[in-house]
Amino acid sequence: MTVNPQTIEKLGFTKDLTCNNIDQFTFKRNGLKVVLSANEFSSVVSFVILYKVGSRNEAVGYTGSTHFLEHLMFKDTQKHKAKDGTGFDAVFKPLGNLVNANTWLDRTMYYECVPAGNLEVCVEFEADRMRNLLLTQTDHDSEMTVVRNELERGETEPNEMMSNQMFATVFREHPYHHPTIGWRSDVEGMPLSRLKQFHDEFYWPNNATVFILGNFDKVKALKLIKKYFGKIKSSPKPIPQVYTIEPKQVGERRFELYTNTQLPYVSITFRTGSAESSDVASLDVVKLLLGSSGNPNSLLYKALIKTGLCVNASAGFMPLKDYGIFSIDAVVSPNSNVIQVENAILRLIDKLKLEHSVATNANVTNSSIATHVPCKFSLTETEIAKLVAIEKKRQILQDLDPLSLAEALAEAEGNSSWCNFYNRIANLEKVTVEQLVTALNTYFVKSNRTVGHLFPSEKLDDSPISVIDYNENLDPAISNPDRRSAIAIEPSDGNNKE
Amino acid sequence: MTKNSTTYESRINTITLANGFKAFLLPVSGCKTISLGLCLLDVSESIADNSMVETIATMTGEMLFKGSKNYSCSSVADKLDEMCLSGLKFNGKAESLKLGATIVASDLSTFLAITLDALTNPGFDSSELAILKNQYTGYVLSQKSDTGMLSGIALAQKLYPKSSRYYMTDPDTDINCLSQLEASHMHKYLKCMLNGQQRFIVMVGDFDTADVTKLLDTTLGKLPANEYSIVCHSNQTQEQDKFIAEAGNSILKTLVEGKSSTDIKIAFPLDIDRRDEDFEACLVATNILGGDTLTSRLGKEVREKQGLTYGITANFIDAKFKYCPIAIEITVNPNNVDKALKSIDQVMQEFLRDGVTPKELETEVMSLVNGVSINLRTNRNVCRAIMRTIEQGLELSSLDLFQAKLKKLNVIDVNMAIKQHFKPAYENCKVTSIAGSIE
Repeated sequence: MTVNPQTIEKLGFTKDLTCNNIDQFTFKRNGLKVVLSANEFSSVVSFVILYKVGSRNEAVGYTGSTHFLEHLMFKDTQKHKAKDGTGFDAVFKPLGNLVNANTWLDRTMYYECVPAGNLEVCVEFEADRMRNLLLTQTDHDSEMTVVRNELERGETEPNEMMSNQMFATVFREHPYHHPTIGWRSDVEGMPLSRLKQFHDEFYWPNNATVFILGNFDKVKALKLIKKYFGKIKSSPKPIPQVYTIEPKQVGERRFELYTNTQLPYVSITFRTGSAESSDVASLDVVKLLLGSSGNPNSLLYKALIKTGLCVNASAGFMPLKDYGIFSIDAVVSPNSNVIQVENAILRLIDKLKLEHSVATNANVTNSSIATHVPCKFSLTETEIAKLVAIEKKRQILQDLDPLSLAEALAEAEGNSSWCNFYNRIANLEKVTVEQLVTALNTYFVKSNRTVGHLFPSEKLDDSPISVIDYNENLDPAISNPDRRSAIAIEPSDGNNKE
Repeated sequence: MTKNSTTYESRINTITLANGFKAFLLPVSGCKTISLGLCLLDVSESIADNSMVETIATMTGEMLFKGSKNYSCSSVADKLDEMCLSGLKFNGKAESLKLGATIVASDLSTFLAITLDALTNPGFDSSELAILKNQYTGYVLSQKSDTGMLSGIALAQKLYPKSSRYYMTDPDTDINCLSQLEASHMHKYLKCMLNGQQRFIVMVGDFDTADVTKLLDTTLGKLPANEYSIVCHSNQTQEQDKFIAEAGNSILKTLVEGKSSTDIKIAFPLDIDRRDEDFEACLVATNILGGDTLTSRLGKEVREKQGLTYGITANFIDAKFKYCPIAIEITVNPNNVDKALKSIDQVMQEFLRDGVTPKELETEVMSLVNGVSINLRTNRNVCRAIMRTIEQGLELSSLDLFQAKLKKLNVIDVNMAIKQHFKPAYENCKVTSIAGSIE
């Protein structure tokens, strides 16, 4: 159903665009963006509000404030108070209680999924807490220890430790350096006044996008948006922008961690361009190509699982607002070690580069690597088309749920535009082998990589470091993944010359 | 061919194939996808007595799509990948072998064909098994540092006999079982499941019932013939009665060094199962107690008021069997363990003494009733709900009657259920399991 242009104008909106039958409007008075997709057959309506504020908007002293504030957004407002029986609990629990929020580097999103016919409750509540949050000291104090326990749950967990240290190492100047949950001492010490300041800087209609999907009437939805959000003015000051630029990485970075774990972990990360970069689709193809350890045909499975080197492995590409990261993470087998795994990953990447360089007659840096990788893969455009066909099916499957689709659209809006959720497939279809080679050769180089190792705590040894010459075939130290072998070994046998 | 009716019972077409296999088909035209759930249930003693059965079942589930006598592992993986089902596996348990997936409607015949092939011509290739054993050994080893897992294992071992559905083996035992596992174990397990008493498939989505019936005849209709009967899950009750009666109250501590957060699980098994007439009352009571971390009694006191935890819940899960564990689960800073235990006990004592209020009941019933509508917003979730209903031995009509049953509950019913089921369990058979960096 389309909304009559006169109605749009009369209600004070402009219609900005339509993508995949989903409409975007802007409320002219305050700049709030509204994205609508109605489906009369759905039994529910989902409401998501995305604020373009995340941990990238933080700095030392108030890291974690976006996330802390997200917790406090469930506390009292002037109108909705728990003790009066009008709080968040009283409003949404009877409606099925599918309500939550989450914070990430670029954005914060709040969502509700309620039975059809209850949209007004969501619009009213979200509009109210956008500007009318009370933010009391009592709420701050009790919530601080809640947030701290959330932090503690991941503090010694291997995957979270690796992820936090990886971001902190890849980004040294840009605020992606900080974990979204914040540094512990910032969480503990951040005063309420700083959170209030943060709320006053970012929680405005002109920094938000509303997504409504499911069973509702578009005109009525626009009227509700006008009724509740229309009262709120746009921010009195410009929304603060991030101007910090992460300098080009000029050499490999490495880190190691220890925790109570049974098996070591390896992570190799390459910094990439932002979500708006022209290489996003090519890197997406590389990720699909590498696959995961769940698929016996994937390159990662063949190189790391089938060989017995790892018990788990995955490739992840995360395009963000300012930069992106491409990571390969692996959990090392009991009979293997971090060096073997690191080398296997690096050889796999080099194999990818080599085969595609051969395919396009580009310069080949080192042909000897091909013989070390126990799998062959040379991607043709037909094979890219096959990957794309699978992704098209995946999108049909994802479209089924109005809540998960709303979240996916909001996620894309957080780093670029919600339309990119749909543009992704079209962009994948356009990828050529030449573009793939360019992306591989641009990002997957030694000077742009960060390597992390995580070891069981009992391997922590503070004795002086001794240098060991590494030779994979001869050195017995490789079967003993301790601190010395991890630190002193040159991980690559020269196959990444730039 | 959707029928003009709003009840699930009347919209679901139940079909029995010539071999006794049942299909429960709910067409939803125009959605372009199909959600499927395949279930093979068997509770024969020969399987239940085997101490390795959980490992055998899990690994069988993992191995079935790793190649058959007709197709290589790579060929099967390709087919799954083309259906966006990369990494799909069966879920093997001691008493059941299940498969769940959502596919694009045009992939249905391929999906059924490779599923049938996996079940009837399993490869169980030794090299694939060796790779999988290596992966699983790593997974099991990781449990040794997982405070949530360790607190759960200690709890289950204290509360349940080894033959129980809820008993959990420790990681070392699992690794030992893995090392002994052979293809012959998996063949035997699979044969039991294929000849199981209750075998069915649920399909919800974009299909024509007549066409699908023909397709099922030529695929799952080829499985061995066996009469369909509803599985009775209560064959271990006497042993559990005795075991639980002797369990008593206890506190178990598992030291895991170097952890910033401690996991606490407090369990007291209720003497009912899903088919008990008090089930709905007990479910509502559990939700009021700890249904979610923000709005429940425990959440409001322990998290919202005292700030002791990020998460606290009380769950009534998988009540297929009598003595389903009700577990209060919480994570806390190691220094706050005693405070949290005291606070939880205070909430529990008040709950057991005074029961729930009319307002709490009204809100919780509305929440659960609306929660059903929200949960059933996707075909995938509808498929799961139908599967669970059949598996629990309930009539399809229970899908439609559940909300009405909830609405009929009154405070007297719920408080009586608390007195009758929660109070004796909490007072006489409460096991507290703590895992983390504790003294």
